[in-house]
Amino acid sequence: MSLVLEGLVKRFGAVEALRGLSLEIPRGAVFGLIGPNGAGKTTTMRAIVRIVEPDAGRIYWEGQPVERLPLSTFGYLPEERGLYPKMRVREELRFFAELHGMPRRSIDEAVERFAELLRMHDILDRKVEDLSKGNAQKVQFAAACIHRPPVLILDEPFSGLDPVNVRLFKRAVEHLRAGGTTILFSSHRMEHVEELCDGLCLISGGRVVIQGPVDQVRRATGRRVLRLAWEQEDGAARALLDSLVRRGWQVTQGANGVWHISWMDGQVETAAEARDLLAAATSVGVVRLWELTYPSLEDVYVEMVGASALEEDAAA
Amino acid sequence: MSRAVWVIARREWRALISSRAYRFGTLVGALALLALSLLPLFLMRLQQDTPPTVAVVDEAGGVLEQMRAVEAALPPALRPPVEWRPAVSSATADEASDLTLHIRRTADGELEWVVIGESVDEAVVRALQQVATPVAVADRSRRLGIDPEVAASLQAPARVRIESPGAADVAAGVAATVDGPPVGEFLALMLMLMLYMTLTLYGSVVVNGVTAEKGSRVVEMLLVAARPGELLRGKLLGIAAASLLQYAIWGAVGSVAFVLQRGALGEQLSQMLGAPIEVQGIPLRLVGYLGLFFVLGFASFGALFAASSSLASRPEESSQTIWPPMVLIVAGYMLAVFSLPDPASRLATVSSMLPFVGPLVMFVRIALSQPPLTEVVLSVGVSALTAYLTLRLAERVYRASLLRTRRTSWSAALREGRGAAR
Repeated sequence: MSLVLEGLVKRFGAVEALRGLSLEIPRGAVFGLIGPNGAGKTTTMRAIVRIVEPDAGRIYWEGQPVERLPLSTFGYLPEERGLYPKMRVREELRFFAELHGMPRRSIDEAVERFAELLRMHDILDRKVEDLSKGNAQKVQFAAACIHRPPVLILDEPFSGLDPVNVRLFKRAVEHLRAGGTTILFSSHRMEHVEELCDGLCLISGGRVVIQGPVDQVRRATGRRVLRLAWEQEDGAARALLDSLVRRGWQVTQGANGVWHISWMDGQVETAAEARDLLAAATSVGVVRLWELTYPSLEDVYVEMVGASALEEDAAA
Repeated sequence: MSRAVWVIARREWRALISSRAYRFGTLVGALALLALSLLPLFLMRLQQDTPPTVAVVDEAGGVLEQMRAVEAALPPALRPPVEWRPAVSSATADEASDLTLHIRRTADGELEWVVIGESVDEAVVRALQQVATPVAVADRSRRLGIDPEVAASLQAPARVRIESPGAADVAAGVAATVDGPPVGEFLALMLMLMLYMTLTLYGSVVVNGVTAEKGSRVVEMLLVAARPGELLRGKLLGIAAASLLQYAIWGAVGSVAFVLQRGALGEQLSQMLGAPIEVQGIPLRLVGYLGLFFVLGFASFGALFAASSSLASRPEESSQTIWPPMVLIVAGYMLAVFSLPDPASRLATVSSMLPFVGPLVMFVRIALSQPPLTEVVLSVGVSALTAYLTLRLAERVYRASLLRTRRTSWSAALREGRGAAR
């Protein structure tokens, strides 16, 4: 059973935010939703939690249309953060737990559990308006899922967090996944998606560009990538790289002296070519990095969404 | 009512009653009520501090006693603010008094009152006429051989009886709620003002709450857990409960002031003033109507305030979007004020049946007169229906505009609200 989105269409005046978007997220999976700004990620998430009504299309959870399900089926962390600033953290969490229908007797225990999970004990009795951005985000995350919903929707959960809090959030996501929660989250940080997600969906212009397990999406471009670096480069190494370019392979230089050499699957006999290349590389210097892999999600994203989206993201 | 409504109402209630503004307002209101209750007594005291004293030279004999007897028979509020005291000497003016009064009998046997002084206040002359006239009439009657009691009965006030069109219903026991003594115009104005001010004040609490929730984006978190209608109803319920608590506190303070004035404090003040004091209480039924019309008025205006403020994208913008409820509430206030001099006028009768303005005008009519039960029931019914329809309308607008980050219009919100989620 799974979360199924079928042919979602949503217009805001002249703007068509979703154009027949369909998606299936397996139960218990952590699923990433990626795409450029304005692709329809937030509208999709809002449609799932029913604060936006699609003009067409249906959404099902476990075979049931979402409009027939209790509201507590979902937890939602919106992109724009917001809590009651004058309330104390403990009161705020109790309020959202009760609003989501949790029985009163189990609320205090849940507050303690999330305080432990997100290391919030020292802020429980402070007012929200006195918290740092990171701490406020922890509180909002806890408020969104304190009732342990079967489906949790997180819109840009890692934005604005420092590395320590990012790690804390990832741990919390893993914890919820282990408890059986189905999690859909959006992010512009591909490394988070690669690290956490079982599957992902890339959307652009309100349509699905590609979806599936992370490995499958990375292979979808049909491109192989070799990451190569020498301890010390000299003219022979450059000559080797130039020869690869002449053979039609793509060669680009990354950070820390790492070369990205890519070619289309089927363009060469990969295993044999790789063996030959490794021999050639070791003959011109000491190889410190040799990794035959698929394009990173970021490369897939850029390739599939296009340079224009990259520019939009950079501007944002 | 759903659990979400109660949870939201409880949060609103707690947030409001723990705010400094609420506590300060409640305290100031209670103090103002105490001051207003006790002010008339102190004003009386101030007036009584310096009543003009008149030294009386009663040359006719026994007239001063008769004047005092007439004065004592008057209700306290009608007693002239003049102190009559026998003159120390009949020959000279009493220097301790403001004026001297000579009472003598003229050659034709008539009693004559002669006031001697540098400047004689008109109030003293009126007071003298008030207590001297019955004495003069009794004296003439005696001289003409008419029994003084018969003469007094001739002067008894004309019988005036008040009949109300609703009297038959009252007699039938149907309208137990519309009988009872009406209050004075000043008190009616004060109570109506209290109703108007609390409706406006708590309307602005609704506006601030909605714009703050929109501004802080917490509304997006709320909408996942509760429907827009539940958010709206919970908010209005919590705020109404807090305002009713404030009414109850003020009512308790007013009752204490009333009891004190009637009890030991009243006796002390009476002794201090040298005259009994009269305290005007508010009939319990009127307190009930105040609560009822507040609830009905707040349900309509609160919903309208919530919907119109949700159209704004920022708190600063709300002043431009909340004009519909503001216009209606001010219109209600104006009509209620116009109804004060004649609560049975056609203007008062018609406007008390109108949506939105009805609660304010009908409250004034009930405070000052005894409107027929059918009109009261009709007014309450219209207000209840208005509240219901306004809530439905507000829910639709609320649904469409809560997540909007740009200002929207009523027509757009109503159109979109029809097809919005939930």
